[in-house]
Amino acid sequence: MTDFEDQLRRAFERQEPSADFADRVVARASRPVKVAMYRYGRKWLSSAIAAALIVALGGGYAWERHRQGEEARAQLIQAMEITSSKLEKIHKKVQGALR
Amino acid sequence: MRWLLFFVLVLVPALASGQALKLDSLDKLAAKASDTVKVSLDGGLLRLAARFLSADEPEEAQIKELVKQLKGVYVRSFEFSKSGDYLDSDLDAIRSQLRDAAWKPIVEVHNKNDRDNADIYVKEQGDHFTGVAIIVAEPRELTVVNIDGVIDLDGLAKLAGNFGIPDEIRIKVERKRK
Repeated sequence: MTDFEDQLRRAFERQEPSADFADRVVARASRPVKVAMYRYGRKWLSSAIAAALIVALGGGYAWERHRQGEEARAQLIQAMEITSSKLEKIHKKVQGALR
Repeated sequence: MRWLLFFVLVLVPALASGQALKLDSLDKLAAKASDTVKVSLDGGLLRLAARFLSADEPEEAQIKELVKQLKGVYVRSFEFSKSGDYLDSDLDAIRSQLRDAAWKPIVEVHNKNDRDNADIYVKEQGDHFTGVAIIVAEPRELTVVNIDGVIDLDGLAKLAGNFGIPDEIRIKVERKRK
């Protein structure tokens, strides 16, 4: 048997794994998958909550601003109507007094 | 020292001329009134209101144009179920502010017997009115309007009719019935 053949035989020689090899493989294989899933889920949930909050706050602000705008518009129209009607009334008083 | 002088001579009068009347003294009348209108629109709220006015509605388009240069619109209007529910002295705080040199009365209609009085005061700056105060005091109704900012009074009056401010700077009418 040549040296080369001897080296080949030793290289392909069967070696028994240690007793806890299977357990370690299973443990190692299952752990990263679990962490990844958890991290992925947490990121997705955080993003969803943030998006929902932004939509809710933005919508709430827009609605409140719209309500304020409509209320202010109604008040402005009422104020202008009162003002113009009082000016008209004063005009009539002036005309009546000058007669 | 120069800054202080600048502040006193330039900024104080400028700030004072831009001030709206204080109408808070009238708010107590709301308790006696059967109908109250209180409008206080200043700065941002006034601009917001103007943005919500329709350019397609003729009246709203007219108001939109009128309020472009305004700083504030303040109205206190009270209707009372019987005469005597408010006193002339309730207006003292307002009238004392209008005695300031910045305000000029342009229309005064006073009827002492009927307790039917109306006044228009304006603040002028160059060719513009920069403020107007309207007081209409009737036995069962009291209205005070203060508009702060550059005002087109004729445009304002056109909203309800064809009232025009008289050519005379000041008209004062007092009727005394015996």
